[in-house]
Amino acid sequence: MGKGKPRITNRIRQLRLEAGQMTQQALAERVGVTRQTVIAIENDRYSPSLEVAFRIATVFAVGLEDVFSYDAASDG
Amino acid sequence: MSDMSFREKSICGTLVAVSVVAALYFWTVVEMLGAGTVNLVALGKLAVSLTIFFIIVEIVFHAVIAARSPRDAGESEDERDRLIDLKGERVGGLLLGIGVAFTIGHIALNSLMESVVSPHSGLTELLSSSHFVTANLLLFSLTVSEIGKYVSQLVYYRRGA
Repeated sequence: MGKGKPRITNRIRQLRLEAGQMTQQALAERVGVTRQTVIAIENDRYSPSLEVAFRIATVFAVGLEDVFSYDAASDG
Repeated sequence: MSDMSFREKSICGTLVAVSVVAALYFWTVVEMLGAGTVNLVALGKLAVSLTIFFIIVEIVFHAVIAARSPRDAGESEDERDRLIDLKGERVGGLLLGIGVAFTIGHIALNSLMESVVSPHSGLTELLSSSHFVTANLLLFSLTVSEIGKYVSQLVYYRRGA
């Protein structure tokens, strides 16, 4: 992370808006991380652990792949 | 600084405080070595004063930033904070290792010189302060490693961990 094009991207911002304009703070509290971490994940500056990724997906009641996507093509 | 989290502000404040205290202390050490007179009592007093100054600055600074953003200050660290902390520790450990290796080289070189220099040459006076220099080299290494740790943590918070 932090260098080049991120390989793991996410739709968290869009899902928050679809979930009644959920705030970053509200999501952070439900997932158990800080608001700064939610911001970092949304901006592709941090890839969360599998556990946090599942918690985020659970909050939005969607599957993991509906939240996160992996760019396998950048593996070369 | 307004878009920084409490942790980033905390690291910034500590970084500045450590840098100022270290600069004042090591400037005095270099001056003493340059003048050829090491006054350990004066240096000890300076070290105690700077330590008290550092503690007061840390308490006041953290009280101010906690009062300005009490919600951020009350948050416990999460996995990203712990990861950045560990990555910073790794950078600090590397810098400390380099400093210790350099200091070991300094000790080895001094031991070698002591065995070949005549007791009446000017070099013996310099060598007599080698314990003082060694102790301060280790302290300097520790300080640089702490500064490196804080700087790298700030970079990881800004650019991504």
